[in-house]
Amino acid sequence: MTDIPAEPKVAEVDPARTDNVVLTGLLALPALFLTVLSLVPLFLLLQLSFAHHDEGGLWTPSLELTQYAKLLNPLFLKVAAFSFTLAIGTAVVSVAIAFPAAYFISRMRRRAQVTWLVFLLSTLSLSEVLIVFSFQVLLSGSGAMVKALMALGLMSSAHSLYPSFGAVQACLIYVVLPYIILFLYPAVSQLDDDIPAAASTMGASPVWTFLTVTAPIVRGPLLSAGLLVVIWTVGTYLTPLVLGRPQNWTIGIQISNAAMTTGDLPLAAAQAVALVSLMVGLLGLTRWLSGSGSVEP
Amino acid sequence: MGAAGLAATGGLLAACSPKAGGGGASGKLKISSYGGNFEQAMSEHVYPVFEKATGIQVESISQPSGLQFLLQLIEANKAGLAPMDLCISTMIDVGRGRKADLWHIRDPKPLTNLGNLPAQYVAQTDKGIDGVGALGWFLAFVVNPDLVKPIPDSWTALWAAGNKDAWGLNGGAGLLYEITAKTYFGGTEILDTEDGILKVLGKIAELKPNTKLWWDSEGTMQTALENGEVKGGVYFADVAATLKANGTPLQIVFPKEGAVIDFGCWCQPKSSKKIAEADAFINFMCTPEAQELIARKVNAPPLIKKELLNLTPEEFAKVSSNVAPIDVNYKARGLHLDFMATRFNQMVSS
Repeated sequence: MTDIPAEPKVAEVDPARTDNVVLTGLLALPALFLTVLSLVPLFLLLQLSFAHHDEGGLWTPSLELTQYAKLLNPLFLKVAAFSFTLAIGTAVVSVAIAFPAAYFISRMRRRAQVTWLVFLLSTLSLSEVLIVFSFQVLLSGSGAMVKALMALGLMSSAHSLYPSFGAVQACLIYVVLPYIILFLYPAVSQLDDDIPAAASTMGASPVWTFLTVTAPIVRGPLLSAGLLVVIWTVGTYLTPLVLGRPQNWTIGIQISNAAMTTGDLPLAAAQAVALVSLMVGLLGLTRWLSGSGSVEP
Repeated sequence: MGAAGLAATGGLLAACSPKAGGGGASGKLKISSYGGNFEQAMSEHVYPVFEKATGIQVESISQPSGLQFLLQLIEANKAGLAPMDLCISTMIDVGRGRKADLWHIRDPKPLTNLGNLPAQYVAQTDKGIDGVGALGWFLAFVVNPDLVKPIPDSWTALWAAGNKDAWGLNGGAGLLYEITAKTYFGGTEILDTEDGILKVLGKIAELKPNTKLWWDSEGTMQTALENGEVKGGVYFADVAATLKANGTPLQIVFPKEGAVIDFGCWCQPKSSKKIAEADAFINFMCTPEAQELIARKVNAPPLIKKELLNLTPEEFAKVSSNVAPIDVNYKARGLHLDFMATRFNQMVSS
């Protein structure tokens, strides 16, 4: 009798232990990567933001709040507000374009779908530098866009369309759009076609069905896509630098000015810490808002 | 010192220099300079003459401009691994490197040609010399002659009415401070105090309606000039000359108040042990022969005194001007760089 319970006990413990070992082994590498590649630099950034900046030199280790006090000037706050407005604007427009695009691509025949996806993937190989300078040529006074607008009678005299807020916004949307379409594609391709069909049997128009039935089902992925765009674009640097006026400059440019022009690396670090904190705050707020008053997780 | 004298020094140096790995009897010097046209012209036209004169072999490396390079060099030097024996550094970075104990302090004795350089092109502290002027570059007034008539001869044209959105100007606490101070405030000394800086900045702010582009990277301004997006502005004279040679309609003007001359210094990281070879190179670069090569082949303004140079007026006019240049006020930048940059950024983005 005493032998019998002993056997299953051994058999029970062993696989679980093996599973744990395998799991730990599998997780060790990503955990190590996360620690080394994200937490360590973040810690160094924090440390640098408390350092002392030597005028005409670089910095000396210290523990002072001088740099954070400098962040409270109206210019930095204005630039921070602008950066977030720009990023949220980019998110709203790009998701609004990407969602129907992904939906219609997912409803195409297999071959057309593959063609579209390959095309979108191949546009990802263009670097932001290339895109921004192409926009500069496209929007210049002698560029194709201005010529087209003149031919259509929408523009009376040839003048370039940059530097301007519109140029910055358009270029950012262009840069993120393929990512967002590809991001939304899996979610929309799994949508059950019977649900909109049911809605239309009950008399809803296709547009109405799309807006009131289909879109709410994929609310989660849409929100994630929007947040992803905000995270990507809030720190944007090159696009506003090349296509914007100084009024359209973002925190990224402020950080670069502090670090590279004045050599004030502690201030640049403090600005970067502020940017990361604001971003974390925004993510927290979104999670809280989407968590309350919603049945979806 | 003539070429024969140089050759003799070089021979001597080569004989007593430590042997580099895989090197022969002569020493080897790794020299970095700004990548692109400049580094190419130096390695094609200047280094071979030095190698022939001294027997010291030069390995040319290209270096980026900007603070990032300095930060990497400081770290590499701490580890005893500076990737070159000599590099070019702007005066601001010479100062930053000095505070980080980066540069070797030179003994002036072997630098027999140092007297050829005007004193402002030698970076010196109480401890000694840590940078010697390598080459200059001008920031001049460039205009598209198809769009700007008549061709201006003064910086005041930047402020003139009727030029709305015409110019591309140097942003980021750049040399507009010097241009404005010289043009409207009698000289760059006004930048020595914060009050003076604010007065000059007030005048720069009047340029905002006429400015379409505040450029930081020269590539941005290049595209704007090539596309006719700006009618002109403030730009590097040597890059503008290259653009002009490639067909961009450009006129390079050295205004009557002077163009701004900025310059880089030869600096040696402490972890480099090739002191004698570096001295020989710096001494060579201060000779009229080397400076003439810089003017003729590298298209950069020579830094040594003009009377020592054997350049034809045409050769001289191609890279420089008889109008006295405006020197960058490095003293002001050492004391007030943060203030100048912060206020400048506030001014342009408000």
